[in-house]
Order: sequence, then C-alpha cells, then structure tokens
Amino acid sequence: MRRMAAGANRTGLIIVGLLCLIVGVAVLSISLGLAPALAPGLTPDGQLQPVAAVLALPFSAVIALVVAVLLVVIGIRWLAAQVPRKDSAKPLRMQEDARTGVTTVNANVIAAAVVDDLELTPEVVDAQAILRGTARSPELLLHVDVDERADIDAVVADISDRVTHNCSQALGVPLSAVGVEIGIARSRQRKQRSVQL
Amino acid sequence: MSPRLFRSRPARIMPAVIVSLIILALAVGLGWAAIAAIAVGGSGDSALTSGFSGFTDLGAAQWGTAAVIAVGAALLILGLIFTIAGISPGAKRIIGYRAEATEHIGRLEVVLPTSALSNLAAAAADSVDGVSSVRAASNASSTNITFSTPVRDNDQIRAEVDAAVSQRFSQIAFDRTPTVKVRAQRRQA
Repeated sequence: MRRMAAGANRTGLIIVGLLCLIVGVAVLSISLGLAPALAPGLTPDGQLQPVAAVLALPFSAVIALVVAVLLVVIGIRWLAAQVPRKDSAKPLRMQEDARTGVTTVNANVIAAAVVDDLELTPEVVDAQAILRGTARSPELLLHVDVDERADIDAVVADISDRVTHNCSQALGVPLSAVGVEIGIARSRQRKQRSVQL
Repeated sequence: MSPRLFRSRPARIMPAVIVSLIILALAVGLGWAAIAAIAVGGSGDSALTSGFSGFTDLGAAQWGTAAVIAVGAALLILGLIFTIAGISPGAKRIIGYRAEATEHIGRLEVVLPTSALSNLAAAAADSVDGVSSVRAASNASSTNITFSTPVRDNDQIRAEVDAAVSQRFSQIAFDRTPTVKVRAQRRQA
C-alpha cells in the first residue's frame, strides 16, 4: 500500500550492474589473453602499472576524496529512498472562497475515521487507510486484514457500499479511485479459537 | 488507463539496499585512503599512493594473476546479477479480484497478495478432519498445499482437502481462480 522506490531501484541496479559487467569483461579479457586481438600490448603477463600510475598522479588524493564524498551522498540517498512512503494527501482545502474563510482537513484525520468505520465490519480484524490525491479527486487506499473464515465477497461489498460511501459523503465528492488490499489474519492459534469438551 | 494502485511486481528493495551499502563501503575506503594520503603528504597536491604502500604493490602485479582474474570474475557475476535484477520484472505478488465500482467510486481495485491466498488455503485445509498440520505456498496462478497426517491411507483426506480449498477459492470472485495442488505427508502423531 505504501509506495516503494521501485523505478529508482531498477534504474540504479541496471546502471551499477552494467558498469560492473563492462569492467569485469574488460579485466577478464586482458587477464585471459583475449585483449591483444583488439589492443596490442595488453597481454596477461603485462603489469598493472598503467592503472597504478593514475593513482600516483599529483592531486589524485583530493580527487579521490571528492569522489568518495559523491559516492557517500549517492549511497545514503539511495538507502534513504528505500523507506516506504505513505504519500498522504496534503491538507485538503474544502472551501476556496476567501470571503468565507478556508477550511482545511488533514488527510490523516479522514483516514483514521475510515479505519474506525472499517473496523465496524464484523469480519475485519485490522485495517489501515491512506487518503491520497486532492479534495476534488480523492483516492483512498485500504488494507484490511480479515478473519480466515470471513466471506470476502461480503467484506468487499461492505467496503464498496458502506465505508467508501461514508467517506465520499464526508468529503462531499465521489472518490476517484479506491484500492483495497485484503490480507488474511491467521495469528490466532487453532487452540485459541476452538472449544474442547 | 491510469496507473494501477498496487504494485504487482517486486520493487527490488533488497538488491538496492545491498548495492547502496557496497557503494557506501567503497566510499568510506576511498575516503580513508585519500585522507591518509593527504595527511602523509601534508599538502593538497599529494598523490593517493603516498598514503598506503598497497598501491605500489598493485602496480607490480600482472594481469594474468589469479587475484586479478578472481576480481574480474566477481565483477562480471555481480554485474550480471544486478542487471538481471533490474531488468527482469519478477514474480507477480498480487491477485486481482473482480469488484464493481458503485456510483460514488470512480474506479475500484481489489487485490489479494499471494500470502493471503496461502493463508486462505491453509485455513480451509486445516478444517478437514484428519489433517494435523498444513503448509501452503502460492504464486499468482496456483497454490501448493502440503499437509501432514498420521493416517496411512490418506487418498481420501487428500481429496477432501482439495475439495475444501477449491470450494473456498470458488466462493471468491478472483479474476482468475488459482489452481490447487495438494500433497500429503504421512507423519506419526
């Protein structure tokens, strides 16, 4: 339900993967003696001196430091992007006429009310809600954990008839999109939900 | 068609975390070497090699040595793994459910993750008499159920488990009802 950085992850993985692949192929082709066909002189018994010579150039330490800082920034930003984002709606502006004032509603307040409403459905064990979009075209994302013996069709019907209806009434506009993810709650052990005689 | 509300393919969190940690480790190593070189040289124009003696040994190494070949092979394999992880879409992890939007909803999308499918199947199989424990594993199109039973002749129980799970699935309006495969494992109670 929360958003992941899937596109960024895949782009980053492809870039890093291709870089590793190119360097790996280059190193292996020199080491295994395949390179002289293309670049004469790069034989397996040659030394790595040309590579090491780059590191011995003046100012190379400062350049390495700058590269290291850049890599740290990239690494930390990529790592931070892995935290799933809720992307809730910004506070909804319900009135736009400045003469009568502006009413703003926090999206989390609506989401909490929707969760309370969802939990009135008898078979729903736990629920989460996120309201996205704008006041004019709100999107509601729901995750409900239902009991393992629940009638799922009834739960879905209850959500689409009652819960989303209440939500759209509260907001005063139809919901432009509703997403429901259904989970099955199986935490209770068999012993706990059975009666022994 | 607007984008779907739920992501059905994996977001590659784990490979991304691994790669970003590798990048961080490389950066720390490089930064350490650079600072050491600047500290030894005492001025801004010092070379990276002045910090550690390891870099001069590197220059004396030959391309054909086992260590260089191993590094090349490791880079090749890692590169292949990361590229494939980035390109291949990965297994679907949600199953669509037929739901009709009412007049106060523009678009309704209902999904079940494959874990929910496994739990549903396990719960249904658990209700059959003679079953002592159940494991279920699902992908987007099928569910494999393995149950253990103390009963020696368990064909009957297997048929009942199959029927119970199939019936449970048929009550739910999936886009495409998953197929059910049942395997029995005999275990002494």
